[in-house]
Amino acid sequence: MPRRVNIVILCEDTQQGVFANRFLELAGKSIRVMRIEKGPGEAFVRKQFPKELAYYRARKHKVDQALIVIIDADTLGVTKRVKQLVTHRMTILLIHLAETIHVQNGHRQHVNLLFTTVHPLE
Amino acid sequence: MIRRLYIDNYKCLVNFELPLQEATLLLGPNGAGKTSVLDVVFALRRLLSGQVKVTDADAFPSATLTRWQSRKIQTVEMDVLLDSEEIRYRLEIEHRRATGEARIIVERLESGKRPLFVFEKGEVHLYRDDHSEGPVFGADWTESALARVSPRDDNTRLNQFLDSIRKTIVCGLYPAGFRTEASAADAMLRRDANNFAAWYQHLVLERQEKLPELFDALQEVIDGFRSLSMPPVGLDTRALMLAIEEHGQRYELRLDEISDGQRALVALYSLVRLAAGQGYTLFLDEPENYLALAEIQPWLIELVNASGGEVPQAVLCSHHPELIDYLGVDHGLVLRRESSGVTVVRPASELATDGGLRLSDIIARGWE
Repeated sequence: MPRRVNIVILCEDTQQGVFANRFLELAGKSIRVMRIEKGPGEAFVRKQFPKELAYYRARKHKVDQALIVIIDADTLGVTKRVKQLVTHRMTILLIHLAETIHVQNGHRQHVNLLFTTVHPLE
Repeated sequence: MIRRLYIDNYKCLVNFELPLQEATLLLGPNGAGKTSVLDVVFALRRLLSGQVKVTDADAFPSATLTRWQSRKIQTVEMDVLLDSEEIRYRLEIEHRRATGEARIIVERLESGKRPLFVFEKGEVHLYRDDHSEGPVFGADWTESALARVSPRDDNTRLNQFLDSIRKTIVCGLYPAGFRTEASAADAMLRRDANNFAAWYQHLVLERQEKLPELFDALQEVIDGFRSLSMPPVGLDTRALMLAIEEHGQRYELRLDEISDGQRALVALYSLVRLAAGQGYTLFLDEPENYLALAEIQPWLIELVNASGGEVPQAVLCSHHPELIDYLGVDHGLVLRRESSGVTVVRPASELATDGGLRLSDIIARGWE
């Protein structure tokens, strides 16, 4: 049957995409309703974010729509990174900072992820 | 898992070294050598299965020698990781360009630089797992002597290596060529997968328990799909059929009665769901061909999530932006031919800029 995406995950790399994808699968969402938009580095996420936000707003009347943005705080720090995104005049309902430990190929790696869930409150 | 391939004097691949990960995407312009890499792996798989002579068309005939060179020796080396131990296989083939004849002059398998098997000058030296010397005997120069070694209690690593290579699937799907009928199960999926029905029959015999999982996946992607079956259609022939249920009616379609794209979906999900957990390594050439745009990413996510686990390794070649953007930055290797004609490789992550352009955009603009 035709695939219809409800959840767009905007992120920097495979690791972040797989993390979100697995998390949502555990929450009962199918891979087929997710779309991972992935590009090289935080610059891609910041550049793509206004477009995805606009697409999201255009479809927000549909049920179960979500845009999930995962961006690394890098050396900027979480507060400044959030401010960068807020300049796009979105409404942030929920911001989580997750310090996650990814285990890949036997190496433990600390990853700072900023989860931003956009919600239609305007 | 194949960690490294070294290929010398094979088509455009001269002194060419390719590192491989659990998931790898080979990128690059047409003619850069991506499919040639898959050809070498397929040739090794055939040679080490004892199915072909070295000069056979899908092995290493003299036509595969690099044309702008006059060297006679063709070399392939492969590092395979088996149970955390690195095994190195080396094959040297001497060609006579004028007559098209060729013979294996060196075939060697070693772990930790200590021998497990050596074939040189027509003579095989067998070694045990502890590297102590075993029997010495003569062997045919025109085929792999390693493929002829029988499994024993004291050569388990040699046989693990052979098993891992024999469980390598190399193919570029050509769904229009899929044959619907099979007279016998076939353990080896061909290069264009035209024996898909026979290969499916082989897998089903071994993996009955995986069928519901495959059917669930196909129900998501093919309208009305219910199940696959292989009923007899002749004395010793079976046909691959799809059970479809639409508008309250149930009917059956032969594999050749569905579209090319649907055949590709059946094959791709079978590769991930049925072959999973059996140690199959996948080398797939442009797997996204024939698929609807919306169907590419869900299949790709399944494959990448399985790679390194249920599917030990997946190596893909593609020009498609969906694959390039999903896999390219983290798992991409760009092959490119230099002005000398030689193919060089570099990580696609080196192409990624801070400008926020997608990798596929960078490649499409020729800015790599």
